[in-house]
Amino acid sequence: MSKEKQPLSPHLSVYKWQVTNTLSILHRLSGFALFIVGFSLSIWILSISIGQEMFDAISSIFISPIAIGLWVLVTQAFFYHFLNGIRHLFWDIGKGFETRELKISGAIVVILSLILTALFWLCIFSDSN
Amino acid sequence: MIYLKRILNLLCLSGFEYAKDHWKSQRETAVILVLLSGWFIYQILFNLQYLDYDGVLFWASEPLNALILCLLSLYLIYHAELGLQVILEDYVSTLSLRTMSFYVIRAFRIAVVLITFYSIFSITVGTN
Repeated sequence: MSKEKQPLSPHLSVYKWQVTNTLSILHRLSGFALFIVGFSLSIWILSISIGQEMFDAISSIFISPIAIGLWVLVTQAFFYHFLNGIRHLFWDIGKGFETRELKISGAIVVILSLILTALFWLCIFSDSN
Repeated sequence: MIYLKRILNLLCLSGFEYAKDHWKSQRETAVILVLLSGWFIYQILFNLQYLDYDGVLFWASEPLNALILCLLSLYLIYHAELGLQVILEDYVSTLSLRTMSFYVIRAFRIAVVLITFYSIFSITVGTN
Protein backbone atom coordinates (compact mmCIF):
# COMPACT_ATOMS: atom_id res chain seq x y z
CA MET A 1 0.00 0.00 0.00
CA SER A 2 1.66 3.20 -1.13
CA LYS A 3 0.89 6.30 0.86
CA GLU A 4 1.23 9.74 -0.56
CA LYS A 5 3.95 11.87 1.04
CA GLN A 6 1.60 14.76 1.73
CA PRO A 7 0.10 14.91 5.22
CA LEU A 8 -3.48 13.71 5.64
CA SER A 9 -5.68 16.72 6.13
CA PRO A 10 -7.69 18.07 7.81
CA HIS A 11 -7.35 16.18 11.09
CA LEU A 12 -10.79 16.70 12.51
CA SER A 13 -9.81 15.61 16.00
CA VAL A 14 -6.95 18.05 16.63
CA TYR A 15 -8.82 21.29 16.07
CA LYS A 16 -10.69 23.23 18.68
CA TRP A 17 -14.30 23.27 17.56
CA GLN A 18 -15.39 26.73 16.55
CA VAL A 19 -17.89 28.40 14.24
CA THR A 20 -15.70 28.38 11.13
CA ASN A 21 -14.63 24.73 11.05
CA THR A 22 -18.07 23.52 12.16
CA LEU A 23 -19.71 25.30 9.23
CA SER A 24 -17.00 23.98 6.92
CA ILE A 25 -17.55 20.35 7.88
CA LEU A 26 -21.32 20.89 7.66
CA HIS A 27 -20.80 22.09 4.09
CA ARG A 28 -19.10 18.80 3.26
CA LEU A 29 -21.64 16.70 5.12
CA SER A 30 -24.58 18.44 3.45
CA GLY A 31 -22.86 18.14 0.08
CA PHE A 32 -22.37 14.42 0.56
CA ALA A 33 -26.00 13.99 1.64
CA LEU A 34 -27.19 15.93 -1.41
CA PHE A 35 -25.08 13.70 -3.67
CA ILE A 36 -26.96 10.65 -2.42
CA VAL A 37 -30.31 12.42 -2.68
CA GLY A 38 -29.45 13.76 -6.14
CA PHE A 39 -29.76 10.19 -7.34
CA SER A 40 -33.45 10.26 -6.42
CA LEU A 41 -33.86 13.09 -8.93
CA SER A 42 -32.70 10.67 -11.65
CA ILE A 43 -35.04 7.97 -10.34
CA TRP A 44 -37.91 10.47 -10.41
CA ILE A 45 -37.15 11.58 -14.00
CA LEU A 46 -36.81 7.92 -15.04
CA SER A 47 -40.16 7.09 -13.46
CA ILE A 48 -41.84 9.85 -15.51
CA SER A 49 -40.49 8.29 -18.69
CA ILE A 50 -41.50 4.74 -17.76
CA GLY A 51 -45.18 5.45 -17.15
CA GLN A 52 -48.02 6.08 -14.74
CA GLU A 53 -47.67 2.93 -12.62
CA MET A 54 -43.97 3.41 -11.96
CA PHE A 55 -44.46 7.14 -11.35
CA ASP A 56 -47.23 6.51 -8.81
CA ALA A 57 -45.17 3.81 -7.07
CA ILE A 58 -42.12 6.09 -6.81
CA SER A 59 -44.31 9.02 -5.72
CA SER A 60 -45.94 7.01 -2.94
CA ILE A 61 -42.49 6.06 -1.62
CA PHE A 62 -41.34 9.70 -1.86
CA ILE A 63 -44.31 11.04 0.12
CA SER A 64 -44.41 8.33 2.81
CA PRO A 65 -44.09 9.73 6.37
CA ILE A 66 -40.49 8.50 6.80
CA ALA A 67 -39.52 9.98 3.43
CA ILE A 68 -41.14 13.32 4.32
CA GLY A 69 -39.03 13.40 7.49
CA LEU A 70 -35.93 12.77 5.38
CA TRP A 71 -36.98 15.43 2.84
CA VAL A 72 -37.16 17.99 5.65
CA LEU A 73 -33.52 17.19 6.51
CA VAL A 74 -32.66 17.20 2.81
CA THR A 75 -34.17 20.64 2.20
CA GLN A 76 -32.32 21.94 5.27
CA ALA A 77 -29.08 20.47 3.88
CA PHE A 78 -29.88 21.91 0.46
CA PHE A 79 -30.57 25.47 1.63
CA TYR A 80 -27.51 25.36 3.89
CA HIS A 81 -25.23 24.10 1.10
CA PHE A 82 -26.80 26.60 -1.32
CA LEU A 83 -26.23 29.62 0.94
CA ASN A 84 -22.85 28.52 2.29
CA GLY A 85 -21.78 27.85 -1.31
CA ILE A 86 -22.53 31.49 -2.13
CA ARG A 87 -20.44 32.40 0.94
CA HIS A 88 -17.62 30.30 -0.53
CA LEU A 89 -17.95 32.12 -3.86
CA PHE A 90 -17.49 35.45 -2.08
CA TRP A 91 -14.31 34.10 -0.49
CA ASP A 92 -13.15 33.05 -3.96
CA ILE A 93 -13.29 36.67 -5.13
CA GLY A 94 -11.39 37.68 -1.99
CA LYS A 95 -14.18 39.12 0.14
CA GLY A 96 -15.26 38.40 3.71
CA PHE A 97 -12.11 36.97 5.30
CA GLU A 98 -12.09 39.11 8.46
CA THR A 99 -12.97 37.14 11.61
CA ARG A 100 -15.92 39.42 12.31
CA GLU A 101 -17.22 39.04 8.73
CA LEU A 102 -16.78 35.26 8.88
CA LYS A 103 -18.91 35.00 12.00
CA ILE A 104 -21.60 37.33 10.69
CA SER A 105 -21.84 35.64 7.27
CA GLY A 106 -21.86 32.23 8.99
CA ALA A 107 -24.71 33.27 11.26
CA ILE A 108 -26.64 34.72 8.30
CA VAL A 109 -26.24 31.45 6.38
CA VAL A 110 -27.43 29.28 9.28
CA ILE A 111 -30.41 31.47 10.20
CA LEU A 112 -31.47 32.11 6.60
CA SER A 113 -31.28 28.40 5.74
CA LEU A 114 -33.57 27.60 8.70
CA ILE A 115 -36.01 30.30 7.59
CA LEU A 116 -36.02 29.13 3.96
CA THR A 117 -36.57 25.51 5.02
CA ALA A 118 -39.49 26.57 7.24
CA LEU A 119 -40.99 28.69 4.44
CA PHE A 120 -40.60 25.84 1.94
CA TRP A 121 -42.52 23.37 4.10
CA LEU A 122 -45.07 25.98 5.12
CA CYS A 123 -45.73 26.46 1.42
CA ILE A 124 -46.02 22.70 0.81
CA PHE A 125 -48.26 21.89 3.78
CA SER A 126 -50.53 24.91 3.54
CA ASP A 127 -51.28 24.21 -0.13
CA SER A 128 -51.73 20.46 0.09
CA ASN A 129 -54.59 20.73 2.59
CA MET B 1 -12.20 24.74 -28.03
CA ILE B 2 -12.67 25.66 -24.40
CA TYR B 3 -16.45 25.36 -24.86
CA LEU B 4 -16.12 21.94 -26.48
CA LYS B 5 -13.98 20.80 -23.56
CA ARG B 6 -16.55 22.07 -21.04
CA ILE B 7 -19.37 20.29 -22.87
CA LEU B 8 -17.40 17.04 -22.92
CA ASN B 9 -16.74 17.47 -19.18
CA LEU B 10 -20.43 18.00 -18.52
CA LEU B 11 -21.40 14.92 -20.53
CA CYS B 12 -18.84 12.85 -18.64
CA LEU B 13 -16.92 12.19 -21.87
CA SER B 14 -13.53 13.32 -20.59
CA GLY B 15 -11.04 12.19 -17.96
CA PHE B 16 -10.62 13.46 -14.42
CA GLU B 17 -9.78 17.11 -14.03
CA TYR B 18 -6.77 18.25 -12.04
CA ALA B 19 -5.75 21.25 -9.95
CA LYS B 20 -6.64 24.51 -11.73
CA ASP B 21 -9.27 22.99 -14.05
CA HIS B 22 -10.89 21.15 -11.15
CA TRP B 23 -11.04 24.31 -9.05
CA LYS B 24 -12.51 26.41 -11.87
CA SER B 25 -15.05 23.72 -12.83
CA GLN B 26 -16.23 23.40 -9.23
CA ARG B 27 -16.94 27.15 -9.05
CA GLU B 28 -18.49 27.28 -12.51
CA THR B 29 -20.87 24.40 -11.79
CA ALA B 30 -21.71 25.97 -8.40
CA VAL B 31 -22.79 29.26 -9.99
CA ILE B 32 -24.83 27.45 -12.66
CA LEU B 33 -26.45 25.22 -10.01
CA VAL B 34 -27.56 28.27 -8.01
CA LEU B 35 -29.75 29.12 -11.00
CA LEU B 36 -30.82 25.59 -11.94
CA SER B 37 -31.66 24.39 -8.43
CA GLY B 38 -33.41 27.68 -7.70
CA TRP B 39 -35.56 27.03 -10.77
CA PHE B 40 -36.37 23.51 -9.55
CA ILE B 41 -37.37 24.69 -6.06
CA TYR B 42 -39.62 27.27 -7.73
CA GLN B 43 -41.17 24.54 -9.93
CA ILE B 44 -41.80 22.27 -6.93
CA LEU B 45 -43.52 25.02 -4.96
CA PHE B 46 -45.60 26.60 -7.72
CA ASN B 47 -46.14 23.76 -10.21
CA LEU B 48 -45.09 20.20 -9.44
CA GLN B 49 -46.71 19.77 -6.02
CA TYR B 50 -50.17 20.27 -7.59
CA LEU B 51 -49.71 17.92 -10.56
CA ASP B 52 -50.70 14.28 -11.11
CA TYR B 53 -48.87 11.98 -13.55
CA ASP B 54 -50.37 13.47 -16.72
CA GLY B 55 -49.61 16.96 -15.50
CA VAL B 56 -46.00 16.09 -14.64
CA LEU B 57 -45.56 14.32 -17.99
CA PHE B 58 -46.90 17.36 -19.83
CA TRP B 59 -44.70 19.65 -17.73
CA ALA B 60 -41.58 17.55 -18.40
CA SER B 61 -42.27 17.30 -22.13
CA GLU B 62 -42.30 21.08 -22.56
CA PRO B 63 -39.00 21.66 -24.43
CA LEU B 64 -37.71 24.37 -22.09
CA ASN B 65 -38.55 22.37 -18.94
CA ALA B 66 -37.01 19.21 -20.42
CA LEU B 67 -33.84 21.10 -21.31
CA ILE B 68 -33.45 22.71 -17.89
CA LEU B 69 -34.30 19.45 -16.09
CA CYS B 70 -31.65 17.66 -18.15
CA LEU B 71 -29.06 20.37 -17.42
CA LEU B 72 -29.94 20.30 -13.71
CA SER B 73 -29.37 16.56 -13.52
CA LEU B 74 -26.09 16.72 -15.48
CA TYR B 75 -24.65 19.69 -13.57
CA LEU B 76 -25.76 18.24 -10.22
CA ILE B 77 -23.88 14.98 -10.68
CA TYR B 78 -20.89 16.80 -12.22
CA HIS B 79 -20.66 19.17 -9.23
CA ALA B 80 -21.17 16.26 -6.83
CA GLU B 81 -18.32 14.29 -8.40
CA LEU B 82 -15.95 17.25 -8.14
CA GLY B 83 -16.91 17.80 -4.50
CA LEU B 84 -16.56 14.14 -3.54
CA GLN B 85 -13.12 14.02 -5.15
CA VAL B 86 -11.97 16.85 -2.87
CA ILE B 87 -13.33 15.07 0.20
CA LEU B 88 -11.64 11.78 -0.81
CA GLU B 89 -8.33 13.55 -1.47
CA ASP B 90 -8.47 14.92 2.07
CA TYR B 91 -9.44 11.79 3.96
CA VAL B 92 -8.24 8.80 1.94
CA SER B 93 -4.45 8.73 2.02
CA THR B 94 -3.95 5.29 0.50
CA LEU B 95 -3.47 6.08 -3.18
CA SER B 96 -4.80 2.81 -4.59
CA LEU B 97 -7.95 3.11 -2.51
CA ARG B 98 -8.38 6.73 -3.49
CA THR B 99 -8.01 5.97 -7.19
CA MET B 100 -10.46 3.13 -6.93
CA SER B 101 -13.03 5.33 -5.19
CA PHE B 102 -12.66 7.90 -7.99
CA TYR B 103 -13.61 5.24 -10.51
CA VAL B 104 -16.56 4.04 -8.42
CA ILE B 105 -17.94 7.58 -8.36
CA ARG B 106 -17.26 7.94 -12.09
CA ALA B 107 -19.22 4.74 -12.80
CA PHE B 108 -22.08 6.09 -10.71
CA ARG B 109 -22.00 9.39 -12.61
CA ILE B 110 -22.01 7.63 -16.00
CA ALA B 111 -25.12 5.72 -14.87
CA VAL B 112 -26.85 8.98 -13.88
CA VAL B 113 -25.94 10.64 -17.20
CA LEU B 114 -27.28 7.67 -19.18
CA ILE B 115 -30.50 7.50 -17.13
CA THR B 116 -31.01 11.24 -17.60
CA PHE B 117 -30.56 11.12 -21.38
CA TYR B 118 -32.72 8.03 -21.79
CA SER B 119 -35.52 9.52 -19.67
CA ILE B 120 -35.54 13.01 -21.15
CA PHE B 121 -35.35 11.55 -24.66
CA SER B 122 -38.30 9.21 -24.17
CA ILE B 123 -40.35 11.89 -22.36
CA THR B 124 -39.90 14.53 -25.07
CA VAL B 125 -39.97 12.29 -28.15
CA GLY B 126 -42.48 9.79 -26.79
CA THR B 127 -45.20 12.33 -26.06
CA ASN B 128 -45.02 14.25 -29.35
